[in-house]
Amino acid sequence: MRIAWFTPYSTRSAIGEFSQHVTAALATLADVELWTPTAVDLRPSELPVIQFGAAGTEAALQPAGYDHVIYNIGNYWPFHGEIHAVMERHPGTVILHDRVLHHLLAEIWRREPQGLGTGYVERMRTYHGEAGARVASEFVAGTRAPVWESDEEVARYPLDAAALQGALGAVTHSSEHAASLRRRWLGPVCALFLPSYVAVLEAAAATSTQQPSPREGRLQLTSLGHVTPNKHAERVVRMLAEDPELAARVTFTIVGPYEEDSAYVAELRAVLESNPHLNVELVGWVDEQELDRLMAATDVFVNLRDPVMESASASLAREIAFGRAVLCFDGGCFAELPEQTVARVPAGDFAAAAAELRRLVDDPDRRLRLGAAARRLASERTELSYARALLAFLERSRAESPALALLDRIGAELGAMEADPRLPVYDTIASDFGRALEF
Amino acid sequence: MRLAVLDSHAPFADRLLAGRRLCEALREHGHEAVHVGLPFAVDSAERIVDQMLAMRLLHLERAERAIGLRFPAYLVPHEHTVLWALRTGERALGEAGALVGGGSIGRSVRRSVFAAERTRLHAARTVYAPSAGVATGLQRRVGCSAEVLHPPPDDPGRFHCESYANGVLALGPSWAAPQRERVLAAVAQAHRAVRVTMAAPQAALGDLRVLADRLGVADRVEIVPQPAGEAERAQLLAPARALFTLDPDPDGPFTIEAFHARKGVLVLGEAGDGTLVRDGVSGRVVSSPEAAGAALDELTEDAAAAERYGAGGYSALHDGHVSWPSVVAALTR
Repeated sequence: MRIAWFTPYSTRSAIGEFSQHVTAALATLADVELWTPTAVDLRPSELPVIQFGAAGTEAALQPAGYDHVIYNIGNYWPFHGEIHAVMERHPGTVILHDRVLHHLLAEIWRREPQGLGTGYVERMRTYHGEAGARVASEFVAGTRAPVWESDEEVARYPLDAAALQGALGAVTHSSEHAASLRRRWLGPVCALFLPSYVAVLEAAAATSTQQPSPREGRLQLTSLGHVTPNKHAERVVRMLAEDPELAARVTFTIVGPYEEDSAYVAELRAVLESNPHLNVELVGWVDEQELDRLMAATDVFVNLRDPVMESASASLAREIAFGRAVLCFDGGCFAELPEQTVARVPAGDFAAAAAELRRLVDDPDRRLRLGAAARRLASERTELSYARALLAFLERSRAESPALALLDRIGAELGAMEADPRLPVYDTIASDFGRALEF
Repeated sequence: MRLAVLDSHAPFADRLLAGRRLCEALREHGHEAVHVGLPFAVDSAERIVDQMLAMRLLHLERAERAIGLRFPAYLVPHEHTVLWALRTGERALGEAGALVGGGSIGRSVRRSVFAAERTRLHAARTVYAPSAGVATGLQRRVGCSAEVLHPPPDDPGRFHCESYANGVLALGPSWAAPQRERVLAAVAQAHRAVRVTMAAPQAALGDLRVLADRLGVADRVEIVPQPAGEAERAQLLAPARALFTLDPDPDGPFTIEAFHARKGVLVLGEAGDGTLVRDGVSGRVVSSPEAAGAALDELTEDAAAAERYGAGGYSALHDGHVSWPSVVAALTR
């Protein structure tokens, strides 16, 4: 079986890291070739790596005779814009790394000759009904801020189904996201766990001890990932500022890339400057070796996401591999982890998060128990088991592809007819295809 | 050439004579032709879009060219299509009448019909309309230029002229109810000597006779059942003085049949493009019941004028190349 795997492959892309590990495992089961728009700073791979541009992809892709084409799609235009453009022309299976794709698609549509005008309004109507059309119209008319400037709004209007136009199947890394997509998209959808990579498990085993050595007598709290508002690092800093006793016992390190000119980072810096007595570090992006060292030294990972805009959390998969306690909200993919593998509090409840953090700091046994359970879970969720599950899904979705192609054709015809969504033809088609495409 | 003739029909109702006859004509000229009769029944406005969609999802295999005759069958995709729009989407909606209605769903259905037609017509190699009226409608509604290609009768030879001895024959499509009432109003304006035979559907006969009585023309207008087919129409036309067409399209099939029978045609309304009915040459074109009454008087009192108009109409058929060989040549060009 031959598989073309489209992905960003930069060392700075978490999806690139995912692809590196999963394709290596998949290559033990099938012939895999990596296709990437990334030109520099590529991750290593034993597999053929084809760098593609906007032109000439068809010529290379068509005769290659792949059994499956897989597109890794995330919400970041520089990494995924060109992959999405190929996907629109060559249907394949999409791995949705984010549940919000509004930023990606808005940027793609903004670059179309007609820009973000009535087409944006109509697409918002198609995927998010009259409410979506209204906010898009108001933005086009210049009477409201764009949806993508608010985490809450993009979570309400994610446009994830829009990214699946023409797709043969969709993989998410969250059961809840898969269930939500199934209600809105008729193609085959499957939820797979985001793996904890064997290399990470091994690095964790090599660098971790049973308990990290306290630094200057303080416990180490660490937050991982791109520094964005929905990860609430500034709320954690405020939490420490409001609890001097707790603050005196911990160091909080914020690891991950950030945009210096973003409003959120400015807010975070202001909070840090007004609390110089706290032991908080904003370290930015670090390489993998340094990341492993920091993670091994961590006592509690603080991973408070709200709203959850990703299909899964790469940082969570990494954190559980290190066998440390993770403090998280009870939402999105975090809510789907088995009981007693992480310390969960109700989504958005920062008072509960502060209480749970104190409890974790006070109770080393609880930290140990949670860390050990997390580590066991991570060791079951490897890239090889992911690859096997993915292949099984590809085979199932291939069986559905003729029906799905017909459904796309019907959609295109009804679109050309400007058919009113209230007409019964839609119910008839949904009912017929719902039976044919029951996943 | 291997040709597929795309035709729509209401099952157990339409006989698709034009499509069948076209296939015969194509075969007579050495082509392989199949008549593809696709069902289209308007029993619910909301379902018109379903039926259009069904047409769009069909594949025509092996035909080198598709000839589309009637909506919605002519929506069936084929790379090389020539359309001869004998029944347009607008006409189909007109036939559906109250079923489609003017509500928001009705407007949506209309929009979809015209959108589908627009796409299809613009993708066609050539578009022909059966009359100038239809061509104008296509231009106005979907922005498509269509050449006029008049459909000849199934068997032009059966239309003949016995005499001009009878009164004027008022004939048209069965659904042309308002036009029948206007004929009665015109007779009321004419002299007492005028005699008209008017055909109407069985269900309308009673009401029309009551109306004729009320207008005081019951003794001058004989109201007869609508003729069932071409042969019956030919029989009615043969002894008629002229045709008073009830077809809103003055260049429609009733006019062509009348010209084959060498009868002049009286039009109450607007003229077509002037290739068939020309005022004072092949008939009379008038715009009011009063003027129609005067034209009826002329036809009744002046048999020679009636004969002259009939001859003018017959010539117009030849000048306009209204014949099956001309149709075949156009559609296979």
